Order: sequence, then structure tokens, then C-alpha cells
Amino acid sequence: MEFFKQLDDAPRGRSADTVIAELDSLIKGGWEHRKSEIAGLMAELRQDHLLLRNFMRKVTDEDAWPELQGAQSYTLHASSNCVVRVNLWFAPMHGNPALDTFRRYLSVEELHNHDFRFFTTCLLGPGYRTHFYLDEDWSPKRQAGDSMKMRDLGEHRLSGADVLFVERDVDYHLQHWPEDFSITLNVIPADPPGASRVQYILDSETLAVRFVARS
Amino acid sequence: MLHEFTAQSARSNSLSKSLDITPDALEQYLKSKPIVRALGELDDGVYSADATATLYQEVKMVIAESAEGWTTTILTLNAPATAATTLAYHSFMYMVSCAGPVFLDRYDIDGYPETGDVPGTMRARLAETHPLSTGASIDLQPGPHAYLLRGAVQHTKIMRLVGPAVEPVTATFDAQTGDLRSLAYATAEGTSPSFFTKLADALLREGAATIAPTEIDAVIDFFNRRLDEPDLDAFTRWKLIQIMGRHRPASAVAQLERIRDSGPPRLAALAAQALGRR
Repeated sequence: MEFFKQLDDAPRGRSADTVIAELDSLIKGGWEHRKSEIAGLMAELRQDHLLLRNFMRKVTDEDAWPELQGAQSYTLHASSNCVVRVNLWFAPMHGNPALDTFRRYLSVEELHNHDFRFFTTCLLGPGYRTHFYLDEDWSPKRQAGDSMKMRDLGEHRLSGADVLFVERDVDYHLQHWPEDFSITLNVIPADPPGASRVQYILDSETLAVRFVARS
Repeated sequence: MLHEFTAQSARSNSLSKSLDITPDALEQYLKSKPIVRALGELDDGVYSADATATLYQEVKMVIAESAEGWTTTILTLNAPATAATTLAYHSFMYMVSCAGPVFLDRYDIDGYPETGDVPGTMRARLAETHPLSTGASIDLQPGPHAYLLRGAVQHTKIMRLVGPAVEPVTATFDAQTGDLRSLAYATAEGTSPSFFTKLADALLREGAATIAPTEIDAVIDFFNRRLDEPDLDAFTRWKLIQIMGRHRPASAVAQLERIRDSGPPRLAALAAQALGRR
């Protein structure tokens, strides 16, 4: 997990499509050592609600409701290099509006890792709090009940001008519902070939594996 | 009335074209590969990602199979629910195993929840309690009722068959007070317009300083056109008019007058109220 703090000084004036094209190109060319540049482009998309305004304009131009992916996401860009999507987070007072069949994609109030890497930032609203842990002994062969050796990285709030990078497999987080409606942006680089596909959900008190999901 | 299927009274019904719920058919279905796999996943705690619906603390649910609008899930409850839920779809439950006495409470509501039924405007009344035990099955139809499973629900394992949604939303009611607590869309088709409307509403509010009048006009025109869609659910329809009212009041008034004069009764009443407050 890496934080890129207060990226308010990103350049202005470009279209969202131009910024996304640059993002895609940057990721295609090898991005592991250029995370801060990705974070900077994401900050640019956040400024003046550039990305959300662009999304809203495309929807009105196409004159049809956009298609929702999973429980809470609209995909804005998808290529062999990366996926760019926005996620909608509702406050608990509004209840969980997700369909039963999609709820597994809403990993809120559950300590879990991901089998993909992603950058995220808050586009609208107060954002959410997340408690992070680092798995110091990653294994794709764990079973339910296995104990974990985890380093507590503390609680963070995804809001304001921060961009967060979450590493696949080893970064675990316990995410809470936001206090008010919020929208986040995810940039998800394509996985390396042959990457393992296993996700663990842990007991947040004992840190032992509760569930294993393989695909 | 609740209708319980037992080994003696199980009957054929419309749950599925291919599944005839007789005792023999039920027994055979419980031994079928999708059900055995789903039961095994719940027991082992190891899931195929595409089969797992939810691994929340309160409920573990695995989709066993889906066909022709019907879905069979196996679920275990880890904690008693605190809210009664309406059914937007036909639901058949079979109690695979109960750790102890389990009860299904049925609450009655004055009509199925719809637009304007915001928290506090509707109340559910406890009408009947039905005991359930291992091997019992129960057939529940959509209607003005909400249901709550309670008792020794922890580790209780249930097979549930759910049909296509016939109501746009499901509603939850507080088990103690009976007050309407929340609403959720019952289909993906209903969820997406609602979510986009929420997004646009939040953006128009928070981005007021940066969003150009032409962008606002485009959204309001888009919403105006959507109001003519016959399948648009009443909640989203009402939200669209609220957004119009905030940004382009003349458009909203025209829509309110239309609904007052020719909309469904509850929506028409709300429209008349809103126009009366102007």
C-alpha cells in the first residue's frame, strides 16, 4: 500500500479522454516505477470533477442509461492495459442498495485482500475509512482457519486529494461505509501473465482465514 | 397465509419449469451436483469465485445454479436478522438443517412499498409466527408482507429458490418498531438508473461552481426524456423530478402536473402535494 498525498497541483485544461489515453499509454509502457505519475493523472481527472462531468456528458449524448457493472461500478475505460471505473458508495443510513447476487463484490466491513492491483482516489463526497494490514508471508495455498502473520498499518481515510495504491495479494484492508454518499475512481492495471487468482477473507479479530475464493 | 410444504403436503407448482417440487423431486434435487457442490463449499469455506454471492458476516450465500430467471442459493445465517424484508419475487425455502428452533415471522403492510414510502412513512405489523425445523419447506409469494427468520438461526442452512422479480424494490422494516428502514432495487435494470441519478444529483450539488449551465441543461433534458420510459421505476421517476425542481423548476412543474393528472394514485397524490407547496 502506498499513499500519494495532496496532488492538487496537477495540470488543468485537458479533456478527460486525453488524460485517460495518457494513463493507458503510461501503464502499457511499464508502470511499476511510475506510480506517482499515474497518481498525478488521477488527480487531474478529479479536478473540477473533470471525469464525472465527462461521464455525465457521454451518458446524455448517448441518450440511454449507462450499464452498471457488478454491485456499484460504471466502467469508463477498458483496454488490454487497464480498466478505469467509478464506484458508488452509499452511506449506511441508506441501507445496502446492492442486489443479493452482487453483494460479494461489495467488500465493506470485511477484512480482505484483492487478486488485482489498483489505484484509487475519492472523486466526490467524504470518502471512506480503511484499516490496512500487510501480509508478511504471502501464500496462495492457505485454507480456512489458517492463521496469518500480519503487520498493522493503521487506519487511513480515502478523501481529499490523496491517491492510494493497493498491491495485490499482500495488502489487506477493512473498509468502512462512508458517512455520506461518495464516489471513488479505480485505475486497475492488467495483471501479469500467470498471476495467481485467490482471495482471502479474514476474521477481523483473530486475523485467521475465514473464506477462500479461487477463480 | 403462509403455506408450508411438508413431506406430506408438498405440491407441484410454478417454481421452475424443470423442477417439480414433490417430495421425491426435492430429495433428488438436494442430491444434484450443483446443490452438493454449493453445500460442500459452505462446509469447507473454500469457494469458486464465480459461485459465491456473499461472504458477509451475517450470511454466507453460494449460488448453486441459475436458469430461466430462477436462482437456487444455499445460505447459512451467522446472526439473527434485525429487520423484516419484503419479497420482490417468488421464494421457496427448504430448511437443510436447523441448529435449534427457528421461526419465520410474517409482518403485514398496507400495500407493497413504493415511491414516497421513505423511512417512517410505512409500518409493518407482526401477523403470524411460523415454526420451522429441519426438512421443512415453505413457499412465499410477493405481496404486502415482510418476513423475518429468528430463533436458533446461527448455522442454520437453507436452500432457497428465487424467481424473477415482480416488484421493483425490496423493503426492510425494523423488527422492533415496525418502521420502514430501507429500500433496495430488486433488479439490475432498476439499480443502474437509480445509481446514475444519484451520481448526477450529487455531482450537480457538489460541483455547482464548476458545472456549466449547458451541462445542467443536457442532464435535465436527458432526465425529461427518461420520464417517458414506461419501465422506469417510481422511485427514480420521483428523484428525477426532484432534481429538475432544484435546477430547472419549470420542467419539474410540467412533469408534476402531468403525474397529478394521469399518474398512479399514490404518485399523483404526491405530485398534487408538491404543487400545493409552491
